[in-house]
Amino acid sequence: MAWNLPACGKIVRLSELMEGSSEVTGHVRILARLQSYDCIKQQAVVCNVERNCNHQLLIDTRLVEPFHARAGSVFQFLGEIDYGENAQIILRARVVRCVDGVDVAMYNKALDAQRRFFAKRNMQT
Amino acid sequence: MCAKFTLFCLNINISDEMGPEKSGISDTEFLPIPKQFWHLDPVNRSYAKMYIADILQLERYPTGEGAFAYKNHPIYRVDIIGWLVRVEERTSMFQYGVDDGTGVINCCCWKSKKVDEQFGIGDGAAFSDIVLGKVANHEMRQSLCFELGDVIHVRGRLKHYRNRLEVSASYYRKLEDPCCRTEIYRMEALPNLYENVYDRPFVLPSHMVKELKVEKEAKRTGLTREAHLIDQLFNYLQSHLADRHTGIRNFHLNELETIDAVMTIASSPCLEYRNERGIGSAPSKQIRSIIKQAVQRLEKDGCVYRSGMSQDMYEVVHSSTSSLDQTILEILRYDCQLIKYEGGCHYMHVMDRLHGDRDFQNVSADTVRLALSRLEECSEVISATSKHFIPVR
Repeated sequence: MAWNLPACGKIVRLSELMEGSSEVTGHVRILARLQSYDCIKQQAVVCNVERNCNHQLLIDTRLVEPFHARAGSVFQFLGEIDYGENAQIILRARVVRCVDGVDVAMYNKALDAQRRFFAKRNMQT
Repeated sequence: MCAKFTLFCLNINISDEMGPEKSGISDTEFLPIPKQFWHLDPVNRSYAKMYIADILQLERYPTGEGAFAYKNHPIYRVDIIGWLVRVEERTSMFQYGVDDGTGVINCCCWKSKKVDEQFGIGDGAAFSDIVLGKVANHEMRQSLCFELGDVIHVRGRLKHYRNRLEVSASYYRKLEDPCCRTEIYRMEALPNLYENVYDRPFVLPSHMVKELKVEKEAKRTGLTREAHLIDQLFNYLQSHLADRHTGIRNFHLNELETIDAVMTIASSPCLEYRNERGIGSAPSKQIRSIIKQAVQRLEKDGCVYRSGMSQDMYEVVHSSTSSLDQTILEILRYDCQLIKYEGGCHYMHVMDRLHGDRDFQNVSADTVRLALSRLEECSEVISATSKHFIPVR
């Protein structure tokens, strides 16, 4: 069938995902810096792009192999949130993209603008 | 035109009835607009840059086919930028799932037929040409075949396919954008676009709404519009004055009121003068105004011109033998001998000269132009430019 489109990946920040300030489930899109990659386990660990806070997230890269990982690069991951052992959050990535050189401040600003717009619209209706 | 207006009148009726029941002003602001007015909307037929979530929720426009309604804007085409999250190749097209963070939509990207034709194998082609052609062909295909995670820019028509909306792409390219600049720019631009364009209601200009209300009123009361009466009278007078047997050379505005046929038309019940109308006959104001406007149109058409003798006196132009045409010809013959007017006289100059004559002191520029073109038809004058004329003899 032509219509087995995947769910859309909501754009979230890594800090929001890790701090659990808002309940995040389903498919998400995050921006993160790669810390380490284990090609045997097919798992990667990423951290914040911002320097002021340090969260770590486990990424399952089985669906995006071969993953051309380079520690320290900035990647965007699109995938589904899952919970592994000890209720640890795992992102089962299905699309990955290297975005080295992205202007993080601008990215956050744009994301805020978009969220403000949607919040305002939801208030009106 | 009448049928279209009827459609709109019906809509107004519906909306009038629905108005009080629906709560809030916003609903009435976003009333669907009939299709014949869609061209007044700047959004119409443009590539609307919208969030995919919004595109997926669009519904068919209730008052016209082919478009989808966002608020009351007709949307035909969209312009989206997003991640490629699904690729499916068919023989003639690619089905791409595009995700912009708010929703996922399917885009049909048709493969170009030109690619095959361009590098078709000719009879006398050398082997190297064939190979190079195949390589180029392959590269071309690769450039149009994308991978998951590419950011693509798609423009295309919205279509309903199996109860889902999809985009039939007329343009699709991969964005070479490693730093996400275009994406970020789009994310910032969209809220502005929405606030300033798409979320604003599409309202018709006020004169149009007024006109439609009058039209609706005319339909309800069954009265004739003033413009229609003027049309009728204009047509009647045109044929009446052109008729040689009537022999009218000039007339006063008040004289027309003595003609029965003119009075019948001018005194028919008219919508614009409905409130002022007494019982029985039409008010003199209506008759005068209709006659005057009909004659003004005749003047603009060049059938009559204002006589120099009195304000409301009109001279009828019968043919090229009329005194107006003869006078113009004389002026041209005289002036074109002067060095200044060697290349022909401007028609405004002819008008100035005519105004010097007592009989023609009220002639309008339109009349002069029409007289000149009539003379040209009789081969009495030649137009040097579109505005300059030279006499033949």
